[in-house]
Amino acid sequence: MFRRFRLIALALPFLAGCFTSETLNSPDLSNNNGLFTRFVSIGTSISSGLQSAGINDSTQKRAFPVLVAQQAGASFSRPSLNMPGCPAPFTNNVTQARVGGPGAPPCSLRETPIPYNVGNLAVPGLTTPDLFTNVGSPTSTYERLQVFFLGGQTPWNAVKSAQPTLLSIEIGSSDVIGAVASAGNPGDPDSTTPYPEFALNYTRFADSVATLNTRVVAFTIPDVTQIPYTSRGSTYWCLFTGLCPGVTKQFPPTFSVNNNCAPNAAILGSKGDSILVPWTIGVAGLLRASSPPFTPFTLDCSNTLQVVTPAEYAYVRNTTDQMNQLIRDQAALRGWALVDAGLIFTQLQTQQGGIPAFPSLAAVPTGGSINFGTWFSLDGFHPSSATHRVVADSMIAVINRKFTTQIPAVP
Amino acid sequence: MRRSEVCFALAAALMLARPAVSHAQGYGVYEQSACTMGRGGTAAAEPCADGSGMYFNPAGIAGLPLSGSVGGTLIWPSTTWANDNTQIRAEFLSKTYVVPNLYFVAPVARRYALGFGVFVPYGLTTEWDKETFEGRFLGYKTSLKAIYLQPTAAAHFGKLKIGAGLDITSLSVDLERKLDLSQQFAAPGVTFGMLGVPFGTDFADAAVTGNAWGVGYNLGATYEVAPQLSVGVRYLARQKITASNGMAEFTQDPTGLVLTAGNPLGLPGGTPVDALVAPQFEEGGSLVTQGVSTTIRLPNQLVMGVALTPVKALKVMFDAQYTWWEVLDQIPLDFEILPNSSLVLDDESVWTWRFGAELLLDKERDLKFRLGYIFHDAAAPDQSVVPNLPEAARNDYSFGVGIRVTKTFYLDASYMFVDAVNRRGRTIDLTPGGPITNGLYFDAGASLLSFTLTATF
Repeated sequence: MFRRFRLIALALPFLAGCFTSETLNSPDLSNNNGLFTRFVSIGTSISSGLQSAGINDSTQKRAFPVLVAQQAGASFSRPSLNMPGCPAPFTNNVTQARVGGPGAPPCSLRETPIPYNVGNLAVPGLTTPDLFTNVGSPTSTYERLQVFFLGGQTPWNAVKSAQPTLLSIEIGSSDVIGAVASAGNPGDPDSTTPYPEFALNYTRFADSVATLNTRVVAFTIPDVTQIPYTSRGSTYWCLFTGLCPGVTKQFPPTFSVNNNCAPNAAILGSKGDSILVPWTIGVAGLLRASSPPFTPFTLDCSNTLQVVTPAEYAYVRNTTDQMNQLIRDQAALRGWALVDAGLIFTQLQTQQGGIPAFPSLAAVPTGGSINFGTWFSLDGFHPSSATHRVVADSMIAVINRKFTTQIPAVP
Repeated sequence: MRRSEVCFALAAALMLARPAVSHAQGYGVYEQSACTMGRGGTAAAEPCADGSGMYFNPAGIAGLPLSGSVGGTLIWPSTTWANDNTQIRAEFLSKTYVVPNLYFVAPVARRYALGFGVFVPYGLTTEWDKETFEGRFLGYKTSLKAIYLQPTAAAHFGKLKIGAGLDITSLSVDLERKLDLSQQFAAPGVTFGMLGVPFGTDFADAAVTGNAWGVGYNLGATYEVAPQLSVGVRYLARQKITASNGMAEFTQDPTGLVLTAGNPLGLPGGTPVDALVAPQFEEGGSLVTQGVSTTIRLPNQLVMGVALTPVKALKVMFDAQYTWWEVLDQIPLDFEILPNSSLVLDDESVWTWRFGAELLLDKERDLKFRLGYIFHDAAAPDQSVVPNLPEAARNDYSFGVGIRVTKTFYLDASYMFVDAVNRRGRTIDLTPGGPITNGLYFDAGASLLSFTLTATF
C-alpha cells in the first residue's frame, strides 16, 4: 500500500507540469538594451512630423522619432490625425491648395481608436514657456494642436505620465523661428522667446526630467537663418541686377530690388548679406509681378515689414547661439546624449543639391509649386521626409555611441 | 460548550464575515475548513469531522456527535500585471482577506443528523491602485461574496450515507471603476479622445453595489465499499440571483484639462474640460446616482471522490470536481439612466483534481498530519482575464495538522500555497479588430492560512 502512496507522490511533479506559463508579448528590443522600452519624444513641429504647412498621419509617420523607433524595434504611437489633416499640408504652395481640396474640413480630428499610450508628444509650435502650461502658445499657428496631441495636459505632465526610458528633447526651434516667420513683421524680436525666459524654462524642464530617471537625447536648435524659407537680400539684388559673378539677371521689369539689398562686395556699406527676405514676401511679390495683372513690386531692404533687418538677423543668431550653449551645458551636466543640429545642416548643405539660396520657380509657370530643394517641404522651413531620415540617422548614431546600442540606420 | 464560548464563536464569525478573495477557479472558494484544506480539499468520500461536510458532502454529517465549529481562512493573494508595450507593472494591493465558516451538527435519533452551516463557496475581492493601475477603467475593486446559510439533514443506512442541504444565499456585489474621459462624447459623433484627450483620463469614479438573496440546494452521498475504501459524490446546485435594488454612484474626478483656442468645439481657449462634463453629474445628467440591476450566476458543482485507507494510520483521498463555469457568461448591468452594459466573461466549465493524504501520528491526542495537492485549469478564456478576475490555471500545495486540545476542543490548522501560471490578459476594453490581450498577469498566487476550532459534546 505504501508503494501506491509513493506512486501518487511521484505523479505530483508531472501533474504540476501540466500548465504552461504564457509570456509577455513585448517588442523585440534586443538591439538597444531595453533603452527603448518606453521611448518618448517631446518637441516641436519638426519632431511631430509637420510638413508643407500641414500635418496628418501621412506626414506624422515620416517624422524622425517614428523612424528611430522603427529602427530600434520599439513600440511608439503617435497622435494620428485623420486625413486630410489639421491643417492639411500644401499640395501647391503657390495656389495654397491643400490635401483634400477646398471642400475639406480645416481641421480633422484624431484617428480612432486612440492609442493606449502616445510616444510622440511633440506639438507644432511648442516653445519653452509652453512646457508647463495647459494651453498652447497664443502666438502659435498650431495652438489647437496642443489639445489634439496632449489633450489639455501640460507637455511636462504628458512626458511624466509616459514614464519614458528614453526621452528625445527637440525644443527651441519654435522659440526662434517665430522671428523669421513672422508674417506681419519678419524678424520681429518680440516673436522670439527672450533668452532669460528660455533659460529659465529649459532648465526647469531639465530639472523635472531628471526626476524621471530616464535617458535623454537632446537636440540643439538649427540655425533658422539658413533655411530656404528666407533668401538673403543680396541674392535678390544679384538676381535683379545680374551684377554678381555667375548670376544672370532673371527678374521681370515689374519686380525691382533696391540697392540697399546689395552685397557689401558690390556696394560698399550695403548689408544685403545680413538681410533675410521670407519667400512669402519676396517670391510672392515676384510671382505677382510676373503674372497678370503684373502688379509691380519693389523689395526695399530697409523696410522692416518686408525683411529681417541686419539687427534682427544678428539678434536671432545670437539668441540661438546662447540657447544652444545652454542646451550643450545642460546635456553635459546631466549626461544627456546630444544631437548637433548644426552638423545636420552642414550635411544637408553638401548633399543632393544642398540648401538652395533661392527657391526654384521652374515649375510655377506650369502650375507647379515653388521648390525648396530636397531637404525642405513646400512651406520652406519644415524638413522634408528625406531630411527626417537624415535626422533619424544622426540621432541613431548618437544613441549608439552614447548608450552602446546597435540600432541600424534608416534604410 | 459554555454559553460564553458560543457567543465568542458567533462574534468571531460575524467579524470574519468580510469579502473573500479569488485565488481559485473562477470566483470559487473551496477553503471552508482547515482540515479539508490541509488535505487538498479532498472530502467527497470522507469529509472531515468538523461539520464542514455540510459543504463538501452533506452526507458526511451523518454519524457525527453533537458538535460545532468555527473557523476562517486568511488569504494573502498576489498578482502582478505587465503591459506588453510599456512593460509598466502593477501589483494587487497588499491586503489580507478572510473567509469565515461556521457549522453546527446535532444527531437526531440513531440514524439521522441535522446541521446548520454558514460558509462562502463563492467570493472574490480584487483590488488595485485606483490612481495608477492602468486597468482601473475595467475595475480597481471588485468584490463579490455569496454567503451560504445551509440547514442540512443527513442519514445513514448501513454503509450508505445521504445528505441534503437547503442553501439560502446572501449575495452582495461591489464593482468600483474609473471612467475614461477619452471614451466619452464631447459632441455628437466626436469623442474627447478624438479631440486629443489621452486614453486613460480619469473623470469619474463609479461604484455599483447591490445585494440579493437566492436559494439552492446541496446533495451528497457516501458509500463504504469496504472497510478501507469509501466513495462519495456531491452535487451543489447552481443559483441565479438577481439584485434588482442595486445602486450606481458616480463622483466627478477633476482632470485639470483645459481647451485651447481654436478647438473644434468652438469654445474659448482656457475652457476647463471639467466644466464641460460637470452637468453630467447634476440632475438631468447621465452620471447621477441611479438604480442598477444585475444578475449573478453561481455555478453548479459535481464532485466525486474516493478515500482509501491502505494502512491503519494513513488515509489517501482523491476528488475530481466538475464546475459548470459556463453559466458565467456575463454579468449584466442594467442602469436606470445609463445605457445597459455587461461584463462579458464567457467562462468554460472545467475539472479540478484534488489529492490528499492524512496520517495519524498520535492516536491518544488524535494528532494528524495532512498533505494535499490540487491542480485545475482556468475557467476564463484569454479575453476574460481582466483586473476584476485575473484567473489562471494553478497548482495548489497544502499541509496541515489537527490535534485534540482538550476533551471538548479539537484544533485544525493548515497552510496552502497557490501557484498560478502566468496568464495573458487585458486591462483595456475589447474593440472590434483590436487585441484580446495586452499584457501578462504573472507571479500570481496566494498564501492561505486556515484554522478551525471544533467543539464536541
